[in-house]
Amino acid sequence: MNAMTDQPSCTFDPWELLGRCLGKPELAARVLQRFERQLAEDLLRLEAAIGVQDYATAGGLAHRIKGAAANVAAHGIHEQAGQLETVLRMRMDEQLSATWQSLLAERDRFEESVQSTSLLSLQAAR
Amino acid sequence: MRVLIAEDDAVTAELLEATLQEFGYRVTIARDGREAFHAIRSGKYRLVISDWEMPEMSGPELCRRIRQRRWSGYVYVILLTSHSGVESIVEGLDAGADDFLTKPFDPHELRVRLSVGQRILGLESRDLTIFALAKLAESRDPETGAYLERIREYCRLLAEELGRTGTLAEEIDGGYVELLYLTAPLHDIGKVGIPDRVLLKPARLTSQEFAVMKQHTLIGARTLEAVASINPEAQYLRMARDIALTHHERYDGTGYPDGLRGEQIPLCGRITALADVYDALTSRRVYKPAFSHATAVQVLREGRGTQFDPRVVDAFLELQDDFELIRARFENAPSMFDGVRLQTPDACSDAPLVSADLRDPHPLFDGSLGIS
Repeated sequence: MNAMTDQPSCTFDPWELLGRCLGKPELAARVLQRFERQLAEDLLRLEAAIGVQDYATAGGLAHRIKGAAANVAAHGIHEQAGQLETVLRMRMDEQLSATWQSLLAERDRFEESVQSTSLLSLQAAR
Repeated sequence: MRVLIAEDDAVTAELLEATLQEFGYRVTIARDGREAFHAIRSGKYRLVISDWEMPEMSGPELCRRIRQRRWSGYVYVILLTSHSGVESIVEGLDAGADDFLTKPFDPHELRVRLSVGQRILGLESRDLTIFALAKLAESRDPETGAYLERIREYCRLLAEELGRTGTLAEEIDGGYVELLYLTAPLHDIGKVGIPDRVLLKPARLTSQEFAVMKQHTLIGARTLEAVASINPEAQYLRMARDIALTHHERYDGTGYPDGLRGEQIPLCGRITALADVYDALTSRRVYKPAFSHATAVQVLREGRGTQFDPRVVDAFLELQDDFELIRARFENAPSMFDGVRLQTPDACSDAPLVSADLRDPHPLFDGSLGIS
């Protein structure tokens, strides 16, 4: 985290993802696709759970997003989901809305970052 | 080897699956702890990687459920977690986890941690294999009581002494001692192939019968070699084979089955040879009384450099009081290897089971002292 801007220091690190996928761009692309799909679903369910104040389910979903994001090197989402998990588990209701919005904003940044990255060209550049 | 992944996060599950498949594992994925527990009950999985936090049943709860039941073999569990800190580790270990892997996992760390798990499971299977083979050996042995326990205790004493002092210290370390202790009870496993009329004969063996009896070394070695050939990394099977084959070889080259001489005889065989003879001398047989410890010491001393490696005899002489203590401790003690004694069919032939160019027996082993 960058303390001055309160923004994650790196939204997405494709090199790191490639390393986690044993240098296989096809696998990295597949895992990334699955993450994006699961993220979309989990965010919908998370929003619904927050809406009905089901904080246990919401906390579990935030935790899952955090873990999956770490595995695909989506550091920004990992950090924001982690903060949201804390807010939900500690019932810090006054911070809930802002943290939720930060996570959505980070999701947007992540998608932009992914679109501008070609895993195949990264691999070829090695 | 099969690995079961318990993970509700499809992204992590896919990454784990692809990585493990790349490392040569066969992978099954369960979406929560309950599904994982159901899969484990099939008996197919002994390596489990489980997420910590899952719906239905958490990773620690899955560990607890696994440890509460009896399984055909140990189930090794690695908890995958983003929880850090001592409290989580304590909670996981307390629940029965064997190891941890933090998210995001590093593929190479994953491989190493699974190797550790396989090694642990391998150790369990090693001990069970040895125990089963020793039970088999004991089932055909005419001796009763804690014969196999005595042999391995003698071997351990000798190996420890030889590892402490002298020119064999380089060859013998703690691992060697442990391996010898584990495998020495298999030295006579080839007796499973010797007919009762020879094995149990309460009198001096004829030369033909003795030729049959001598084949227990070859039968044992070939059996263990066959097992070793399909488990090439199992060091213990190689040592067990060496012991079975060479524990009747003599340092001067007049033993059997191959007439090996001096250091041609593996060290484990040289050590077991002395332990076996000491035990045979000091034990009662139906056709001979137990000789005194002093007599046994005298016989072994006389065999220094001819029958036995002089260094092994020297170690024995240093430890002879301990040998006597072990003999006393296990006298009339029940044996962990005791079981039902197996008999060969009456129709068994005395004809040699394995052809070999065997040397003439040495007087100590020709039945005159009742030792075979």
